Amino acid sequence: MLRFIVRRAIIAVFTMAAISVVAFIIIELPPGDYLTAYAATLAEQGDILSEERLEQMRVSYGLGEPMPTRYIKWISNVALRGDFGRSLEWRIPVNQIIWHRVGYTVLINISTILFVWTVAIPIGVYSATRQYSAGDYIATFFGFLGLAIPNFMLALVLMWIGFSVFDQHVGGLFSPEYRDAPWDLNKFIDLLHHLWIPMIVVGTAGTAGLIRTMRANMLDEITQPYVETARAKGLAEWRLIWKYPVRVALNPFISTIGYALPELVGGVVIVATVLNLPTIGPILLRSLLSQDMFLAGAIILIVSVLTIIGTLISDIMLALIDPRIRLE
Amino acid sequence: MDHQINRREFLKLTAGSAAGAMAAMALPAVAAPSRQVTFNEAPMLAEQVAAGSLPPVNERVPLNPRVITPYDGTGQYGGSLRRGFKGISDRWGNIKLVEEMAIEWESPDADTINLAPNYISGWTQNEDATEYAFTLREGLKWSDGAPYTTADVQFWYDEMFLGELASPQQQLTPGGTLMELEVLDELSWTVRFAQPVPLLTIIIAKNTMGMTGGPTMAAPAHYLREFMPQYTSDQSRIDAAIEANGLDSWIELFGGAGNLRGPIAFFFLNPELPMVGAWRSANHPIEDPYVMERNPFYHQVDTEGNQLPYIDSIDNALFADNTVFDLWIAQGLIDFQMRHVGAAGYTFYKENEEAGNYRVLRWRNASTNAYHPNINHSDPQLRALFDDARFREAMSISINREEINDLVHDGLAEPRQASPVSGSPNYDPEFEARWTQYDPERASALLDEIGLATDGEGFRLRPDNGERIRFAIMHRAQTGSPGADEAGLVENYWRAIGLEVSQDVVERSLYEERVRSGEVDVGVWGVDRSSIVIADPGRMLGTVDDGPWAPLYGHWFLGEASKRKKEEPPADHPIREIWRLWDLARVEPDEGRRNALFQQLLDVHKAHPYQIGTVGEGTTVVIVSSDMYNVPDGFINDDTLRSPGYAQLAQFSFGRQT
Repeated sequence: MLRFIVRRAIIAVFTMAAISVVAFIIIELPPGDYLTAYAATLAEQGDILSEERLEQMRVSYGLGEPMPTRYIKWISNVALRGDFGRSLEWRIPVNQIIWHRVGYTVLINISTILFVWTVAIPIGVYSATRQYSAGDYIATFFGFLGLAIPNFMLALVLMWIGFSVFDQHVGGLFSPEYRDAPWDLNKFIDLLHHLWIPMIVVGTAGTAGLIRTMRANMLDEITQPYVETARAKGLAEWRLIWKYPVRVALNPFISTIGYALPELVGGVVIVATVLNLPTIGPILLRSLLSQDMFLAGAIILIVSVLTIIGTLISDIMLALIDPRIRLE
Repeated sequence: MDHQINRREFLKLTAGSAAGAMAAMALPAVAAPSRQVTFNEAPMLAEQVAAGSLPPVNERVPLNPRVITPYDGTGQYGGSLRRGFKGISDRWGNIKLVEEMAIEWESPDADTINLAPNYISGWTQNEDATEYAFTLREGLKWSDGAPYTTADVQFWYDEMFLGELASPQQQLTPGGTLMELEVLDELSWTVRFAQPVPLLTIIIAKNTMGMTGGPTMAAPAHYLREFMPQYTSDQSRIDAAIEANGLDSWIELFGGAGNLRGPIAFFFLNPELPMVGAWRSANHPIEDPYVMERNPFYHQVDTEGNQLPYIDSIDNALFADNTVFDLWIAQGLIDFQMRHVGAAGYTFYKENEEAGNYRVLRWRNASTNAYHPNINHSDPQLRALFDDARFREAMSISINREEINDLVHDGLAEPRQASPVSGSPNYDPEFEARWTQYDPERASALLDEIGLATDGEGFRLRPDNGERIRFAIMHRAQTGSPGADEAGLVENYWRAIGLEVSQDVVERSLYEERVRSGEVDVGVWGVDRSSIVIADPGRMLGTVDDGPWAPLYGHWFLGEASKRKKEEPPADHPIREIWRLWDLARVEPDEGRRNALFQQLLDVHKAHPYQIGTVGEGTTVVIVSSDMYNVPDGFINDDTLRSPGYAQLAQFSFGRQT
């Protein structure tokens, strides 16, 4: 086991290095650089930056140097000092921008995963054990519906309902009066008031997918001889289902833990932007649009690292939970 | 001391010697014996005075403060103005709320725009506009209570105009010679130029000519010196600031030469920076909400002697997406907002006025949507056609502007040519109407006159190779946006007269790259800066290349200042006349002659517009809480006027005294 972990950790380091190079190159690909994007924004606001001043800024931001030089400078600061550099757009160290958003990102992530699991597992099991029943059809119908509706649209619709029916403050995670307040019970309740929308929106597609996966896996399992055996031995039906086939069918839930985070940061950028969530997603979007490569690079790098770690964890957990998986 | 002048008279006043005379004459009126007057202050400040943490109001306000006449009436103190912002990159919204220049625009009503001395008591200028004298209001203070004196002007001049932090602005270095400064005493100073700079007052009113957010040509020396190694009393403080901001040198704390928007020198990023604006940062914009709170040493009072501002603080709530923000407005969570509210949402805003307890004001947008045929095209045939006034006229009159206004803009804009906005001293109804009458038949006749043959399908053919005349409208509007809908209509109008037009939708950076190198057929960009056009005539000179009607000529005119691709125009090209007139107007001290010259310049455009406008003077939606007073309606939204800043935000109030 230890050997496996060490081996995977070494591979992970190389993967990260490769990702950092690719990320850096991709961010650099669009024509122009941060300063051309910056000048364009200024121009839109009716402000003209003289070419002379642009040149001065280019020098002071180090944008004039060749790409490999800039990459090596950047990556060595990151690796050796944990210094992700300064955001060109925000003009403050990247570390100050992202870490306080990571907390909310993880919070929404975990609550979404819990939501998905609590909904998807029972329904999946029900659908499989009552295959082709009315309940199965209904669950399937709504599952596909959830899969088909674009997340951002669901977000808009739910916000509209929150606004027009419940006259609730929408967008973000807190009402204005609690945004700045210290933590107490009221603030927590306010958070719950806001959290349900992203939880449902971000969770719906995942729920639908997992219901189908769960159902399919369960259908494979419940016809297996070991289920027959258990039933023959007189085990109560619900206990039998939950103890044996469900455990095996859980495999995909665990193996996707690693993807949950990048999904939340990258896959639902639009949703997070629409819902005004204080997560990393909208920041990533902005930084890519403005070609703020240090900020964008830092986020991509951090998310990649977390993904790699997540994958490692799910591999280990799979080995522990699923008796069919054995390490070589 | 509000001088009420209508906009025709304004022309005479703006920049000429008359303005100096006016200000000088006005001086005694302002310097009335205010020593006996007792000023009033906000309750929150009165508490601090009672507690001994703040000096009394009469010691905080200048002896002869600027007196502002509120639009509706004397306001009540207090309240927090809630608005939305998109985070740290969205700095202009807040800058324009608190910006202070020595000389500012002042509008007693929607059709009058004057210049008024702000925290200075007045200015004078000599006959040929090479020398200007300014006098500070006595007792003016920075927001930390330190006196604001000519030492702060000298500091700015030495360090930020000449010294290591300098990148002297072009407008202050006419003919390449640096502006000279002479400090006369603690309150007054003069500046001298090698050539006439008759537009200096306008330049100041538009650009601050100093720190971002003001003041003009001055900086808080007592504070900033502490961050300069040659002056500091505590080097460790500099080192700590460099370290905390992840920088390499003290210069970067200021933002580097010519860019004073670093973490120390920019009020937006530094709550400690002393400033002169009505509100100052209370926290960092990375926080949500970002709050600005009142400056207890603010220099303006109302006509009753109440120190301004009325409103205690400004709360900026962070949002990322406009949909959420629109819902916030409808829910009554926003008190005042001009930025980020689009005319496209007008119906929605109106529907929810009552529920959200707000009013929708309609300001005039000083921009006209325009199509710019590139007369520097690399294809000689297209270049010849675009540079032919008859061809441009055909392009212009084949556009059905009424239809565009109705279909795309809900009738909220006005069909017009790309010309100065109404309310501007340069407004000219003839120019506004030039080539805007929808007449496809005449358009076809014009194309016939040029000698363009037609093929079997009705498409016009190029004289040089007999192929169809093909070109693309290059724009950046996303599908479904008003800009894209408009471009679609224009494409069809032009196809209807036999031009094989397509659309080329590009991302912003690519648009920039293309116009800079002149590789564009027809570019789409708003013609803005059309209120006080003389303050910033780049669109008319062709030097602002995002509206690419003559990008390469424009670069050439900029000379050394531009490193982009250039081309010298032929000696007889009309753009030469435009430039000749500008070079004369720019240095003409006599306001009558100067304005006549500038009018001639605009007339060159009027004769055969290069920028083909469609609709303009669109509605700039301004959301104002029903509880707020003194917010005028119908004002102009233009960067030159620093909108909404020229509506005197310090006199906005929640409630008013009856």
